[in-house]
Amino acid sequence: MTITPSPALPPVVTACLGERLRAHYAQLMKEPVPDDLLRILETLNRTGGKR
Amino acid sequence: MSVDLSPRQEMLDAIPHLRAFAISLTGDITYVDDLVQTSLMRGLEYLGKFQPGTSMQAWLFTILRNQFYTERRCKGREVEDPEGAMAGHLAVMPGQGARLDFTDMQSALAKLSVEQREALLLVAAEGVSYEEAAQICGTNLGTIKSRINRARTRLAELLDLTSDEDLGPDRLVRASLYLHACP
Repeated sequence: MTITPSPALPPVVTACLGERLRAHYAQLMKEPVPDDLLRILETLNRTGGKR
Repeated sequence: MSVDLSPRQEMLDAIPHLRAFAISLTGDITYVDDLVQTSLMRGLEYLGKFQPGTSMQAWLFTILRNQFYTERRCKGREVEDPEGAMAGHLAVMPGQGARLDFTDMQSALAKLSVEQREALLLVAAEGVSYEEAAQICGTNLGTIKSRINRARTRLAELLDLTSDEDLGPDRLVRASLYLHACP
């Protein structure tokens, strides 16, 4: 295996990156789920958890 | 709907996560719902193989990721969002102040290799453990850690969170300014 470790980032940079990534992701989680996707699961609903 | 932990409820709960992961992984919001849809249908098809008590979300992530790689291989689909164009297709736009941060992050993510991007997203954004991320990505712990390290370093460069200078007061001040700029 050829893994060369990258030099560690200063903790403050890592922390900031983490916050920005989570904020980015949280924004994407706000996107409304299209009905088509919810409808796919309706078959599961009718049969009480089984296909 | 009976119990919250029915497979259906678990799948429903996973959908926003799958979409967020898929959007940031592929950078192509128009393709994401097809990808999520195919993944959910596969999930339903193979539901018998899902082990109750394990994470439905992680299971679906694995399916989605495999599907993404299969389609990418077949269609030669590229993952690029150099201009941050994807943000324009969002239904819910980030607030005025956060918009630039958002597009900056999306185009920086698009510049990472897809392997680095998925590892970083899973652990740093989605919050799954390194072990789980390794399992989802079909690799080992060392590789995942290395990918995440590299991804962080590259992202910090792209977002100008680092400089070539040694750790000096200037860089620390800049980093801390960014920290305060974090929402």
